Amino acid sequence: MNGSTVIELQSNILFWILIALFAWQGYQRGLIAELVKTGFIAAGFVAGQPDILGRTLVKAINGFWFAFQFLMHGGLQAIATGNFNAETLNGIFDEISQLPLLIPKNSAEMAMFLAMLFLVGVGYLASNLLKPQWPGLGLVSGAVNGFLLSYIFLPRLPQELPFQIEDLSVAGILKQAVSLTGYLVGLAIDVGSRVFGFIHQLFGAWSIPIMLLAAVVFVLMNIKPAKKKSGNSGGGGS
Amino acid sequence: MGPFEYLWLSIFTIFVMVALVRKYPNELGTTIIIFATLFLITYLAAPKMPGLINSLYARVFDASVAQRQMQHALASIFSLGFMAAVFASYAGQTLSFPGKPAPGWKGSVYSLLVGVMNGYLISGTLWYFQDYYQYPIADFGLLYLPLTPTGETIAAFLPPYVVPPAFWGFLVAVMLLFRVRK
Repeated sequence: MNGSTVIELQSNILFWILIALFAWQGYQRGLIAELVKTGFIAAGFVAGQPDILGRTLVKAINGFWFAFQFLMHGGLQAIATGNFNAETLNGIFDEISQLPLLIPKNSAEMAMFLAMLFLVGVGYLASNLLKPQWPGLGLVSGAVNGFLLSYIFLPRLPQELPFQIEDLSVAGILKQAVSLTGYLVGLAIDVGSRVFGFIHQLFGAWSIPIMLLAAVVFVLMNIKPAKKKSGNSGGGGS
Repeated sequence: MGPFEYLWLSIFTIFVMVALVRKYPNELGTTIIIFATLFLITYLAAPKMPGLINSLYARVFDASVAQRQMQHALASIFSLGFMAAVFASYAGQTLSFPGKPAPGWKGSVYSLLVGVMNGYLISGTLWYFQDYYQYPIADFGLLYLPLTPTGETIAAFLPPYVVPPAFWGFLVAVMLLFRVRK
């Protein structure tokens, strides 16, 4: 097999694996949950495309940010006191025009990608809240979701995957597994550092405190309440 | 001994593994103790301790403490105090959050998240006590300076450098609110 045939074959295998996985999940979750997910995936897709909604979304977020800054830099006071003279407004606009954009141009693509991931994630969480109904139709709908996600994410993968399916001996499979693990670790570090860079651009010195607070609150909200036993309030574990 | 970040990474990895075994409702009990200890050390003890050591030393030896001695003393006191607090949070009757971890892979992911956080806080704080007081440990030949470029990068993000002292208290308050609510 030549290189391009192998790459094509790998992409096809990955594509059908994704479809099968999502179809199976759709069967478990049912039709309604999958339709909700489809809606969010579609919304994520349009939010992640610069030419469809991505740029508009970034502009809107930056616009809201400036409106907020306007209020914080004296606009709120001007509205409350009715002091709308040109000098005051000019002063406020001069001040906020010096401020950096919330999402600078060089981070716009990352912001769109994160918005897309966020919407897909919200869709996944929202679909968890619904009771499974009509599993057969859910299977079809799940397959459609798998197709949509493949359409969105597969082109973002590198052309040459870091493993080959040609060598199927034990040593070959081990070598491929090591190669794939190294690739995934590198990818996780790369994505992590990009996301951290983006968060750092947004929150500056407050990035880590905000991340710590978010992590703590998120995990605390995901502790399942214990079944009440007589007179045991729960402390003193392990 | 190799680069300092290897030691940091080893301690970090150990705490991540401990969290995966103990599960996050128990690990959060350690997190709250770490936050409280960091608040006590960075907000209350760090500004007062040098003066206290100086006055005690002057009374006993009728001399002032040399700068390097002071750095050794402060790094040792804070490191030992911090390690004792962390040890206490793991040993015997521990503080934990009532409730059960989420089942399946979600529970493991949450435990991993808390483990990463605790690992970062514990190993990062111990490194901070060295970094802030000019690496007293290097005087014993246990570390060769300067740090590698990676070490320098990590050292800029050590917990007490990037979190304001009062914020640790705020985090403790938030966690206590959740514990009371549960």
